Amino acid sequence: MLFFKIILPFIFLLNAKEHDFKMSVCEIVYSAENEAFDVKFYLFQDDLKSVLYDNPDAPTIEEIKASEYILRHFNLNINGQAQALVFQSIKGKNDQVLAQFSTQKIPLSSLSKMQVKNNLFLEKFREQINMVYALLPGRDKLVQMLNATKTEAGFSF
Amino acid sequence: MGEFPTFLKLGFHHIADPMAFDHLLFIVTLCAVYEWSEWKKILVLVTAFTIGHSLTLALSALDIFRLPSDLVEVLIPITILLTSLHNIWAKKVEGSAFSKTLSTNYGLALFFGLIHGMGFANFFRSLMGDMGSIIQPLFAFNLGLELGQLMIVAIFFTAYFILSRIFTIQQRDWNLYISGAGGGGAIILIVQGIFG
Repeated sequence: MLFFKIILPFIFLLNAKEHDFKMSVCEIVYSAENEAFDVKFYLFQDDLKSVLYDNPDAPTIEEIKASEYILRHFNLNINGQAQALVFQSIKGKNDQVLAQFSTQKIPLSSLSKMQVKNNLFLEKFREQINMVYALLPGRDKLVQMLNATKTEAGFSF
Repeated sequence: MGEFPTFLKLGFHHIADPMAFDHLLFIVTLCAVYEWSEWKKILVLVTAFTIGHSLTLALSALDIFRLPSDLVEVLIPITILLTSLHNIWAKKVEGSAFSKTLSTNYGLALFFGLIHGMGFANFFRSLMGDMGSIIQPLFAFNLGLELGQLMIVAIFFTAYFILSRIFTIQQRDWNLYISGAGGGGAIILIVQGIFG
């Protein structure tokens, strides 16, 4: 009976904490107009502040620091060639940050495969989930879920 | 992995993850008044919770109805606390007869499911970018939640069955332990939600 009276409630109370989910979303969308990929990251502001300043309540996010952090933790490889992402903008959106990058021009007809490595926030949050979406004109959306045990994924077109 | 299995997996892990303590605690507390042999009533209970949370998950994910996430994070443990108090209070009034408690529980599961659905939606929206239709991911995510929910219920009653055989524990005592522990955990979550 000791189990029920003491240990069971103790297990419940020990685990009582808010369900604070850790995740990011990356969209890789081909722009027919620019003949290049737009790469967008939706990140939680407090997560980004935690990794940049070790303080989730830091007053601001510096663009340069944020873009450098993203580029250090995200690699895009298209048709076997590493892409040098070009920073476009970063802006706040509710409790999230939208960071936008783009690739160099890549003809749509030449696309065959894409490889992504994404380990954003994993050095800080082991439970982090990084969703990666890929979209080409006229095709179904593709998705990969990355985490601490799987940081790389491939898309075939 | 395709979109459907990805979101099915995400839904399953969101509710079945031990770190997802709030939803898990609610389901366990809700089931505390039942005997393992009352599987038909448990099925109705789980279905009532499913109807409730599916409705607000869809409405909230589609931006038709939404409450601030901070408020939802406090309301969820309040549903756990009220359920545990109801379990304990009903026991005192009715002794070993739980008939009124059981029918009220269906209502609680349905109504409180509406609140949990908004919590699921906060997670679901964070998974989506700005791209395309969310209908298929939403359906897959909800299905994953259901599978996870059924797994929790199955594990809970298997544990109850085994432990009740080992310790010859009475159902009313089991209810008291689980509801008491659920209520205590809920109070901590409420305090964290308000002051954390």
